[in-house]
Amino acid sequence: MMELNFTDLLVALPEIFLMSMIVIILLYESLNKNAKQSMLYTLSLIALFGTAVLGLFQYNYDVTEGVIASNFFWYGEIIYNPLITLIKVFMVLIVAFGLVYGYSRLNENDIANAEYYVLVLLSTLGMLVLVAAGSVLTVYVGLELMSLPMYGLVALNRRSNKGSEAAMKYFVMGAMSSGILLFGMALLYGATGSLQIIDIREVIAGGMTDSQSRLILFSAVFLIVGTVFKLGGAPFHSWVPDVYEGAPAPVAMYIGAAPKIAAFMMGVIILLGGLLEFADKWQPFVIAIAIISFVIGNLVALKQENIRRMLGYSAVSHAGFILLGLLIADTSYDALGAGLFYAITYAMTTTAAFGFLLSVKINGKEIQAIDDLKGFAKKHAWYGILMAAVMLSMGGIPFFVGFYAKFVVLRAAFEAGYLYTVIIALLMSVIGLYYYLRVIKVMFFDEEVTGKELTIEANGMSQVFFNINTILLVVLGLSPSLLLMFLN
Amino acid sequence: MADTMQISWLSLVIWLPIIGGLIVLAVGNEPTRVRWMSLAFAILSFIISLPLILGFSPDASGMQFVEQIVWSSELGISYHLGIDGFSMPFIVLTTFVTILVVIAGWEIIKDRPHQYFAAFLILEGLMNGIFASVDGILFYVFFEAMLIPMFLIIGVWGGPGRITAALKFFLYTFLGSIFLLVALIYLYFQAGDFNILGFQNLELAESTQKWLFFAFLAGFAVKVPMFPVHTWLPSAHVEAPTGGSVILAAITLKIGGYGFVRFILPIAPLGASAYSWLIVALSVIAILYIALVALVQRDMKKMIAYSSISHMGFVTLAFILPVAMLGGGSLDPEAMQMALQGGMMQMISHGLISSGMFLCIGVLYDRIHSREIADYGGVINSMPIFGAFFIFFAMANSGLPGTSGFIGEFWTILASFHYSVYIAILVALSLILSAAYNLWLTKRVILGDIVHDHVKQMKDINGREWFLLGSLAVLVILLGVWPDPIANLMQSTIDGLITHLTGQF
Repeated sequence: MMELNFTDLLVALPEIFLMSMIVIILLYESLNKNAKQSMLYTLSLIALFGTAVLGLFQYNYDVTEGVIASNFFWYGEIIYNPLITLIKVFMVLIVAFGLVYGYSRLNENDIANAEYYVLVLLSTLGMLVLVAAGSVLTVYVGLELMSLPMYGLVALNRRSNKGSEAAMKYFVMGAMSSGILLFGMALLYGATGSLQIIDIREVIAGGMTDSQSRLILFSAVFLIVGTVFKLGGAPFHSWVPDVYEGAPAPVAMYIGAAPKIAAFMMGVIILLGGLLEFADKWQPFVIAIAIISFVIGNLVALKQENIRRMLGYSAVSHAGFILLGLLIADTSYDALGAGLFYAITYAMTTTAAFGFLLSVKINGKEIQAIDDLKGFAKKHAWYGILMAAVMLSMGGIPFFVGFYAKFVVLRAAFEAGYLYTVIIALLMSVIGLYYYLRVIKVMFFDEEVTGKELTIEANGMSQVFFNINTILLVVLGLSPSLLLMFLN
Repeated sequence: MADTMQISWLSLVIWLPIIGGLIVLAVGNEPTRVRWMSLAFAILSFIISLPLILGFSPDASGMQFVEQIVWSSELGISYHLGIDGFSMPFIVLTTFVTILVVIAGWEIIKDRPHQYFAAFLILEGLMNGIFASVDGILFYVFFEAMLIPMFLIIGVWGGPGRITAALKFFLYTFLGSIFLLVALIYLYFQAGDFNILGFQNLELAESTQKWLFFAFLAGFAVKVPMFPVHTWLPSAHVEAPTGGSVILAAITLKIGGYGFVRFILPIAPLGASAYSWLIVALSVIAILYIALVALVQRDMKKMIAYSSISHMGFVTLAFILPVAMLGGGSLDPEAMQMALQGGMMQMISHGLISSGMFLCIGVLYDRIHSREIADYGGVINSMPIFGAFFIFFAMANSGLPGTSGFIGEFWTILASFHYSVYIAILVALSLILSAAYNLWLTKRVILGDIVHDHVKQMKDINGREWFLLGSLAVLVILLGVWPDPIANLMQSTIDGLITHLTGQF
């Protein structure tokens, strides 16, 4: 067993910093009866950007250099390598963008208090732990630390019936999926006698009896179900549209974005890290789920009138692509990068889409139906163009990063021999394009409805961030290498 | 290669209009300023495309004006540009037609003119990108990105049914092109990069070539459009503003034909040869059946749209003939050359003539806001100059000798004699049909007595419209009586393709 030493602390510096900031925010709130939202907000942004800076520092300077040869720390519970550090930075930045977009909206939903910030930051901490997990135990701890605050976040707006319903649904199903996941982990432990990913892998590689491999197969099914639930893939997706629609918009944005990256990494850690030898057994299962996700997500999204529900179902179809990335990640190192690229750019795009929804109001209220945006581009051409870019990126049209995200995943899947899955995915994206185009159509082609005034109500910082976010979709679309070279 | 002056002409001709479009978008909604700026950018782009003709060496085989930069080593994509005899004429045609489009929209577009002109300038750059791409993914990127401005042009400035038309246009072409993407990815794994010229040298099994052929066909048949995937075109044409129709007819459709000579023939010749009967059949159906459909239209734009599909049938027929002949065992380089020349000439000439027709209809529409044939009659009495132009373009459209319309059809029919006399006879029949609908259109719209009062009040064309129709008419006649310059430019490229094809069988 390894010793815990100073390097362990260095490796966990971003997490430690984030945790300390959470404590500071909690202290600030409990000591000040009239805690100001702006102060909470500033502290949270400091926490997130500070974490990102520390992560970048770790990326540039290998903090472990010369100290320990292995990548495992904290008694082997935590993995440290530059790629994981980079993933952490992306996730934290995406959360930070979300906080900026949501800031001015919180007052309306009556959730502008410390709970919101603390829960978001705690959940973010959970993601950081999750993506660096070196054992199934850490995976579970990270996952729960990520998920539990999310249940609370969905329910934050106590006066919203839809919100309460979504929270109940999410909580019950989430708890159940956690149980299933835990059960899978227990079976895995039973079969291999270890919780450490690397040990599990070695045991499996060393050959197993029939009963052992049956146990592992069972556990793989449970683990996949748990992962797919967190990703929001069909048929375990029924919480997704409800949460997207019912949760306060800033929360829906948070849940729709960065946790997807974490869930992808969870799949990578468990399925590829631990169960790689078993890949040919669990892969058909993942293919089936991916295909179901493409079909259900895209077909049901077609009929949605509510824009957030539409985004929810489209998220289901994107989960299919992320799963495809997971499926092929064992074929080459490039393929892992492809899946990650998809997850990261999808998170960015979702954040941008919600950033738009959080900036625009109709008669002073939140946008609900897609039709609420009728004639939007007539008055607000630039915002219309930005939102069109977001939608086209989601639809996978070239010159936007969404195209390359799909392209890298499909190329890797093609290489791995999944031709039919690729064709189904492509055909379904044609259907998907229809509902993304519909948003553009409503904004650009339809006439304004009299008596309904569309306004942009976002503070300066939020506008700046939204512009940066969307322009990044184009910049990465013109030069995907900017991101890819880090991931490969 | 021939880039002695070290100026990246191809990049300029792609990015200058795009950046120009963005600038126009940014300067805002002041009509006069927007118009003049757009015109300046359009003319500048045209001027920049001229060195491509002047510096083009007709004898060289292979790509000229090559630029190559690694774009994304992770993805295996490079920013690889180059032109040959197939692509160069289209780039010049694009830059030229864009000037006409800008002028055509001059006073007509009152709603958000800056966005309108910006969309056309961006579209111009993207289309040049398509023709100049030597990298498969670069091609695909431009190919797809082009849909966005076109979608907006039809959807924002189009007629009453514009929304359905725009969606139909986008989804049809997008659906077709995903198969193109699959084919490109497959070829990448065979070749190791996305260089289209490299794809052409792969030795692919016939079974592979067969499915590659269908994948490419799915992508390009929709664009041409071939029967039976043509149904998006009439609605897109009818609803699009005049400028949109002109670009659609002049350039967008040509991308489909260009795909034949750039992808289908050189990369999958055996596959194309195996199914050449299918393309021949579909082309003949397009040429004859769609011409009959054109005959019964009441809407002028729809009639010209169907006539476009019918004329593009000549293009697909011409381009499939070389492999059809080779597959049939006949080795007649002269006939193959005639077919390819015929197809190319037909594309260029159709670009000019149908632009002229759509502009004529636009002129009428601007005056009384109707495209119904029945709303006109005796227009020549109130608009004599316009009437002359209209009759001229209608004659050119029906392939009258002396106009460019004749050359392409004539060569194609001649070439098809070498393949099958029956096909040649069938195709030649269409000349009668196209004469019929063009003459009938002319008779009902231009000639005869004035029956409607509003026709009496119509004013003849102004200087701007004179310039538009006149410049096209000059080119139509020029190519009609003296096609050699263009034919010579393409000669060595066509020879190269024929040598390549002959080697494959």
